[in-house]
Amino acid sequence: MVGKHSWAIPEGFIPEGSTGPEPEMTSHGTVCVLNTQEEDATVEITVYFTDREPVGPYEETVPAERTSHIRFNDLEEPEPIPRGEDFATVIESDVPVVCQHTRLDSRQAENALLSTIAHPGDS
Amino acid sequence: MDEEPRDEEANATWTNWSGSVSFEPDRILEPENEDELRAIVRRCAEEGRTVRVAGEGHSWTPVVETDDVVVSLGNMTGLVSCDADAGTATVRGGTTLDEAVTELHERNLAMENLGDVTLQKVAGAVGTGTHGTGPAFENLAGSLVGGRLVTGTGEVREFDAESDPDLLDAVRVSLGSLGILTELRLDVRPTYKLQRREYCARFEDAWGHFEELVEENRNFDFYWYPRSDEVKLRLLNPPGGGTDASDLEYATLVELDTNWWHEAIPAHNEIGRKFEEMEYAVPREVGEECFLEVRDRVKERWRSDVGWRLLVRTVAADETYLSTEYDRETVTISCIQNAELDHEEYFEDIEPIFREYDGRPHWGKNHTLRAPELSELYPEWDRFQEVRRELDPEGVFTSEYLADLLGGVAADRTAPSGGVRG
Repeated sequence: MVGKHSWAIPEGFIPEGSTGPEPEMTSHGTVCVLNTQEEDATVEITVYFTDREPVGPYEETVPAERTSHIRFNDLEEPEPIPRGEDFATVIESDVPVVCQHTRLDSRQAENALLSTIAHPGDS
Repeated sequence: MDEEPRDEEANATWTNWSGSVSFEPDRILEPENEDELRAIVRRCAEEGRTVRVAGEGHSWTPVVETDDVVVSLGNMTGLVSCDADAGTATVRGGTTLDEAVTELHERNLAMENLGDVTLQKVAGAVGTGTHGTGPAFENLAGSLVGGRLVTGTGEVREFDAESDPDLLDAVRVSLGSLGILTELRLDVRPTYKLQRREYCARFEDAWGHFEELVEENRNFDFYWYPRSDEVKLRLLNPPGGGTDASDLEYATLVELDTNWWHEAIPAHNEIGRKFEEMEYAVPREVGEECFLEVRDRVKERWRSDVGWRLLVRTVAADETYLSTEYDRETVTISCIQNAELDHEEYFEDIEPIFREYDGRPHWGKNHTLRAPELSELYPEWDRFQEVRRELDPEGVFTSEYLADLLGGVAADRTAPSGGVRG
């Protein structure tokens, strides 16, 4: 069994500007979820902010033995995550998964990609 | 009121689907049949009260709002009759579209088209000009070919295309301002299957194909996602029809399903996500240009806070006096925002663009226009008002909002609020 039920990504920021063709080069944050189990994972994402109550959960499904790269930019419900604001996320899954975080910041043409493994919970 | 009708619900709160319109009418009444409804209207007319008819409450505008009497047709539902040879079916006004399409399908009958949602009551969907997509299809009001209407004097007026085409053109989209539709006779056809294909694509790749996709497919619409600048293309056709897959190499197929018409046409009857919506219909020939300007504005100003898609559809021209498609084919463009978030500033910023393109706002969706502006948009405005004066001479159906929106009949009666003579 590979993975944990809960993960945290303290870093989160969707830059307001972008350089280059969309959607590939749109500045964005992503959580990459790997599900090696033989059953689908229901993933709930809660978003934390600096100055207001958390929002969520945002619910996504990662099919069995698949990976899903969930762009924070694209989350709609319960509300879009504002661009240009610091946020953090906690990801909880009903089956063990592995989470990694990436952020593309293309505000300048010399694009920068940040990637880091998320922090796993105890379970 | 001297004699209270049954099923009275006094001091109840009426709330629309999204929660943006909420008010406490004096009474919410649910008549069991047409005779009870007539009695309600007659008494309200005698006592100078205002009556508004409620559908399923899926409109975002306060079209039902009154501090007087709200009538719900929730007890007046179901299929009355159908005539496969004539291609018509009659349903009661309180029937939801979902119930109507199910009943029709069980009798091997179908409507030509639907909108995106079927939770509305038929009378409400027709009365607000609800529509689907496809250049060959009028809005849902176009399928109304006759029916029964309880007028402002409590009389029943039967009407159809043969006996009174002017009345039909006025009634089709009338927001309950001419009377309350108790029965609607609709154009129907034998039931049928459709193939639904959905594709995802980059906006830049798909945009040049918009016109051919409209022309080549029975029903075509697309969602534009403001945050990614991607689109979802929805194509519905008789199985095997429509744009050839080899001509869609710029897009990725994400859904393929062949089903009966009411399953294939988007027909959400349960929508978990509550949202606010503004939609304008602009002349088809400027639809692309208008959308591009809206897209630019959204990308420039609203990407930080708006994640919901914009929906673009086409609708055929018709002759209904207050139809957003009156005398012109249209492209409709919807802006959507989560119901819990602010939408006013977003919509107020986009609305002037629609107006620059001679757009007409959807009667049931957010907009700021009132009678002075709206009367300029509808060439048959005065003819509609003539019918209104005839059918509702005392303005029984004219609430404060309707007086602002439509002007005309007995506007002074409702100022400053409905039912001042009561």
